[in-house]
Amino acid sequence: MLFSSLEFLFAYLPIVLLIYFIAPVKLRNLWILLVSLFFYGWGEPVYVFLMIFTVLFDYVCGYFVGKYKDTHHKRAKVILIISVIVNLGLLGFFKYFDFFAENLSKLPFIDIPTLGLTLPIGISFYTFQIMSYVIDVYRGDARVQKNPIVVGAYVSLFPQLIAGPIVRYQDVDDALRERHESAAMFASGIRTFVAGLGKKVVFANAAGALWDAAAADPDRTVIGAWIGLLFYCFQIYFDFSGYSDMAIGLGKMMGFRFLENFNYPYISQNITEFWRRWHISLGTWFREYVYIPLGGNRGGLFKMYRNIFVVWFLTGFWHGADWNFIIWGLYYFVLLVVEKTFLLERMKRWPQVFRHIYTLFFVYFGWLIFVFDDMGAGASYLGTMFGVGSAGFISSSDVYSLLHKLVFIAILVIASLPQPRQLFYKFYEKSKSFRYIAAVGALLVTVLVTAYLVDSSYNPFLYFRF
Amino acid sequence: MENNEIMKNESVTAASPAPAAKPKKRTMQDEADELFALQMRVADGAKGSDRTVMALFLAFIFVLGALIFIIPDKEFSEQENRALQGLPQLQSKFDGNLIERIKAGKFLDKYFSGDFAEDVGDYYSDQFPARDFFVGLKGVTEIAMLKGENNDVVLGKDGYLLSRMDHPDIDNVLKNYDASAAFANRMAEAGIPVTFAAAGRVIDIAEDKLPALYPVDVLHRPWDALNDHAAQTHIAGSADYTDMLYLDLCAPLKAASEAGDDVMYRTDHHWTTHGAYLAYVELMKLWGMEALPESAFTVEVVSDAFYGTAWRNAGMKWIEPDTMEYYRYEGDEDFTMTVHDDGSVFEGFYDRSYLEKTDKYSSFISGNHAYVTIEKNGDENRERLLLVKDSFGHSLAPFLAYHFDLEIIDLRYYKTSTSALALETGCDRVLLINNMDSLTSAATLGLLGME
Repeated sequence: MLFSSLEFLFAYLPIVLLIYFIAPVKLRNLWILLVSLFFYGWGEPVYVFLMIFTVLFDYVCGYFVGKYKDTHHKRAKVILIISVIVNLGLLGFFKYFDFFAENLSKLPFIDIPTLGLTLPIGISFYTFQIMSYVIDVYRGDARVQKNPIVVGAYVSLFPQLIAGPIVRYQDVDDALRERHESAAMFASGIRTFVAGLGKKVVFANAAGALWDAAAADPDRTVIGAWIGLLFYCFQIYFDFSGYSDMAIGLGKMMGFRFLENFNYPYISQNITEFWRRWHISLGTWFREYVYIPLGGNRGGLFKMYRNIFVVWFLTGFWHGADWNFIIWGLYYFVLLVVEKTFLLERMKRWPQVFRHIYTLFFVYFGWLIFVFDDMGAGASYLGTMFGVGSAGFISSSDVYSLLHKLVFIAILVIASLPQPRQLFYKFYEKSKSFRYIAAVGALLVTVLVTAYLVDSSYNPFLYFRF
Repeated sequence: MENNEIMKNESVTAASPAPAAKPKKRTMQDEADELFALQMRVADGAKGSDRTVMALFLAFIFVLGALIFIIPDKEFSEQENRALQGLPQLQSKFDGNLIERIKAGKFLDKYFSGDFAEDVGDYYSDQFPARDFFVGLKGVTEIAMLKGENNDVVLGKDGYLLSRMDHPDIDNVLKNYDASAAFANRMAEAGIPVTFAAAGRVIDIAEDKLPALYPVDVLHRPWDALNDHAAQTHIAGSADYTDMLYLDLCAPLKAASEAGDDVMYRTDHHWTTHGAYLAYVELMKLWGMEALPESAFTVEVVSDAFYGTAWRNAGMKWIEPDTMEYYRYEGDEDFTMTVHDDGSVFEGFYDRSYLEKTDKYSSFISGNHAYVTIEKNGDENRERLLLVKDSFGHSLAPFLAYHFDLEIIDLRYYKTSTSALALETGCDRVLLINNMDSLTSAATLGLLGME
């Protein structure tokens, strides 16, 4: 189920909240587990069993890891390794089997049939989450959870189940045991949720439709191609950060605090900074559970670069089982290594505007690699951006549509900057009447989103490959 | 593991070459903490407004959520002319007890197949309370953002709503033309002349109502291609020569529109009855026959509240509806119109029951059907015309009926041989009439090749 759907907003959410707050505190985790499984099984119910298996399996692993880690360290380690292998094995099977089958079959004497399985939605997100539970217990960063319902609630927690943020177990350990829902949290949760909903439905969907039109345009011009990709940059940001905001907001309503997942990435002044602001929970996960275990930056330059390489190869591959995602990850590996070795130091002397241009330039072309899993199509799109195979430099359609999108683009640009939120809270703190205006504003955004959902044929879900 | 702490503050991406003495950099975690603290501070300090936002938001989702179930479901949408999704079912119908049901694999089968989820989505968008209000709100918002259009309907001047036609498939136009020419050549053997007439879309005819800088070159492309191709096929001795008559109805109607005539509906994709009359005059001229003068008709205004297809898509509820007219002439009720699809019979050309509905244009010859005939009562010796048409033919038919008995077919629904029909019914003439939207969107006229 999508948050940005009428059935979520007007059936699922009211029922879930109503019973959640009527239920005794003891039963709330169970309720979360049940409704999350229902949420997960929406549209593809079979995979609920996969989810239940994962929960039980890792519950048992976590239990024994916790039991043995102080007394029989080796045993604990073996169980941890088994758990990691099984989790990655499931992810590998469902997400990557066909990719490997297809590519290995290109070698002589090898012929592996592809399976064409539907990717269980959110498997990349929840696999990383459940792994963090067993690993955190092993490392002593979190306590063993004796109650399988709580482990289940953690893994399947519907707000962030299908599109993140990836919540580390240690960050919600306490909240899972005892949390304090409050009116303050709930109201703040509504504001965050509604902001995310608006980003997704009013901004991202409209930008996405414009991108799709550009990508499918047989008469694409140079300008049309550049503008089209610009809309994709807006789509992916508002879609993804919108989902994260909705997740964070829903979490808050129920007393959870998830960490921010996006922090205005497009204002970054270098690629390093961009990746600290973009999909923060994924970066954190790879740092905690891959980079540092591999030795981080200890053990000499070679090892450090090797570790960075591994992280970025995996980051790319995590986004989808296709070559373009791997290339996209390695593209960032190269950029980050270049920055690390000398460019960051040198860039300090550049005027700020150059640093922004530099960053956005590479991020912009990064999305071009990212968006085309058919790399031939990507190459021909790139071609039209530079006049190869394009229908001229600019067309009358470009002029017209650009003219009519100027206000929309301006809104998107402003919404990508931190200032609106800063201003919002500034007024919010200072002016009592503004708080009431903001409350009505939240309602109006919800009404507007409803209008867009009622009259929409375009409401894509971008993360079915993740 | 002592240096685990140090490691934690290092990021994969941000491990700068350690300028040691710098003050500790603010991390994303710090920023997130600050934001959360700020959110909690403003929330705690504003009990009343917190209550307000909760009350408004929750009331909205609870009340509308309940209304969907309280308001009786609609079965059919007049506006969209389609059946609406009813209350979704978890399992398909089955006679038998639970055990038998499980054995038959019908237990919650719709849930497990994912059909239920899909139906629920449709149910919510079809049955949503105050649907029209929300559709209109989106229309207003899109226009307020100066996008100039909503759902591919452009807001034009003078209350015109013009559906965009962005990527005309010119191949289809030429295929349709060639299939028609091949058909015409076969008909010529039987001595039956064929005319190919192409009608303009609203956006072609009312081009001057488009907003400034609208890319009209895209609109001209299929016309240029069609006119060039038609001219080509009429050069004596050319390989694909045909003596099929060709008529571009776009140019004359466009000229009339520019002169101030209301040729096209402002809110619908069809021509007005006046526009159809002009097309009729052009056709008669082409055939060397005399058309009735406009003064021979009595104009009957049958509706001043015609909200056409473009209006229904646009969500721009402030746009005034169209007026719909019938051009009546003496004796126009002395005709028998038979809809062969369902055997229904009418006196005259109009099915006035549609005037009570949204889809008023369907009152002309009772709307879309595969096969309709119109014959003048008590006059057996009239010329017979086979009209192969899209819906633009509907409002044209009453004019043609003055001169001809009509066999009317629509190739979107009529799936048997057109030539056989022409020969069996003894037609003297064939008119193929389609608007450019039909010609570009599918190669429907390929069906003319059916023996």
